[in-house]
Amino acid sequence: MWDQVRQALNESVSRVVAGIANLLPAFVALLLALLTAAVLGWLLAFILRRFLRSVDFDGQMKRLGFADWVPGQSPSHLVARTAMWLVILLGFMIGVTAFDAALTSALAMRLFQYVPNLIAALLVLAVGVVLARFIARGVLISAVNRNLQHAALLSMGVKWMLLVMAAAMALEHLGIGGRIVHLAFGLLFGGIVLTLALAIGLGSKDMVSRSLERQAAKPEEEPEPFRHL
Amino acid sequence: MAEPTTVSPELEQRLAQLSGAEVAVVMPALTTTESLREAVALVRRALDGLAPENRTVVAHPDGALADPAHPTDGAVLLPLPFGAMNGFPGPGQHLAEMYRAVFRLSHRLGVRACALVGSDPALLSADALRRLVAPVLEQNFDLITPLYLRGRFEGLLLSAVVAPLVRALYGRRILFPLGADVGMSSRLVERQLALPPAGRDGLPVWLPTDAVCAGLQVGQAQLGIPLPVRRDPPEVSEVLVQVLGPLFLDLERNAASWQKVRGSQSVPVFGPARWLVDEPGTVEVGRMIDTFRLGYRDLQGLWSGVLPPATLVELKRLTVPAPAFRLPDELWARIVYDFALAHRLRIMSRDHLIRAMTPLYLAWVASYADEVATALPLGVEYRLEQVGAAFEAQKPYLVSRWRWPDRFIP
Repeated sequence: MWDQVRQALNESVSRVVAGIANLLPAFVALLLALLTAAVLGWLLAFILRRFLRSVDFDGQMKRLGFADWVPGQSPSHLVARTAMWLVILLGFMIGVTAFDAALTSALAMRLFQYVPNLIAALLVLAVGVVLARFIARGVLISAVNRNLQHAALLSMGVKWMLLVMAAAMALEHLGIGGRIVHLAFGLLFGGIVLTLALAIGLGSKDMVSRSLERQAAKPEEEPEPFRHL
Repeated sequence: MAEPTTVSPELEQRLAQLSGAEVAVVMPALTTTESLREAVALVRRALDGLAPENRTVVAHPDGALADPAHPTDGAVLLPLPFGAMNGFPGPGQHLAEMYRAVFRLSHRLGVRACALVGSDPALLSADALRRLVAPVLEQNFDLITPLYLRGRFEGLLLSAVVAPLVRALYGRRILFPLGADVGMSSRLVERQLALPPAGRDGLPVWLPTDAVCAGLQVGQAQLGIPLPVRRDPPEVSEVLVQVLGPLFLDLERNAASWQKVRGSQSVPVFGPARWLVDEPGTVEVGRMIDTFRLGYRDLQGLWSGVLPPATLVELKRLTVPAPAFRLPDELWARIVYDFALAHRLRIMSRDHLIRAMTPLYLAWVASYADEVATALPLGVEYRLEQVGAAFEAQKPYLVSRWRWPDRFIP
């Protein structure tokens, strides 16, 4: 009986060792692929950064108004970083192929099918962020010029509403959340509108009515003595 | 040299009938046959002895006369290829096209002098119109800008920015560089036709600056009429966009010229030089100061990208309640220069940039109004002279920042 146990143990050990021996080259290949991709990615990012700096990419982005949506980082830095991580991702996929070609090709196919959605979502998010900042700035300036005391609050509200909308659209493109995103977005927007309606209807009822009465009873205003042009 | 003319076949036929002219008087504000008849009589009186009547063309908007081919009282009439203007010209009225059409017609007619009367001709005296044309014909002037009668709180943007900037940068003390009524020589017309039209739209701030940059002679004529006002004036920030946008673009275009200019010289005035007509009184400026303080609180993030830290510190001092609200002229001049530079560098959307300047401009208006409200006319003129002198004194700051925009300014 002990002979049988020893034999079973030997067989299982040799199976595991054989499995590890089978996996080890693939694992080393993955590490090598990752290392090579990292070096290549770093090199590409370095060249890209130097090239973008030489053509004043940051200045041009600044002039086009695309600089202030990556606070703390220059647009050329962002492009170089993105390129580096794409090369590393490619290296990872090559490395994974060493384990099981059929599995990884299926994974790669699914990943590649997802790429257009990812790009569209990123694009929607980027445009949303730029638009939100632009419109919020416009609202802030207009509100200050109209002497509205809560100009900053108004501008921040507009900005976050647009950001939430852009994020919801991006998530929909990614297929994340599905109906939850729709529901959350509807609830959030509805909540904001309801809050505003309640705030004005209940909280500021007297103030609004007084303001309307004053407006109705106001005599024809004397023209200001200031003419700017 | 001149660009090809693009006129309608009817106008082309009319131009062919005319064998040239000596003077053209363009009156875009005419609307009826009656007003045209009165304008013709005015032109006849104004140019008596200056130019023969049959060599004087009165150009009117298309449609101001039922039959353009039919002369009124023997005058030579010419319909213009645009409709009547609605009061003081605004950017929405295709000003650039109007000016180009006037230049082209003057060129085709080969006139020695062209008077563009943008104000209502019914208000203008024959003497005033004569002052727009005579210096061009008799003394070789190339551009005559208008002097209007105005109150101390009228044309504030001209007093605060346009006139001081033109004085400091181009070296000519022109009081109304944006006037609706001008006299022009054939040299100026040819020069304008030779220049690319791109960037010369909007209010014609480029007309005097192009003339000065080309070394042409500029004069001023007292018209004795109130400063033309727009019937529905837009809000302040919109006025700033309409005026400062073209002005800053012009500044960018002529950077090579104005950097060489040192000091300034007065521009000859034809007719009485006095222009202030109102009486001292009190004004309420509290709301403007409130807007400035609100701007300092909420727009500081935007301003810090445009203005250096020292300027922001000085502005902070203004937010503290004090017995009198005073924005120093030197500080105001540096603010305008910083915004002009930010406009050139496109630090943010140009529209946003100029609108973000509104609280600062209102601070200047409040400070100025508080100072001159009870001043005598000479005191007001002296005050505006100080503003111009401050812009001149601060010009090295602009030149330095323009040449080395990345250099740190404390």
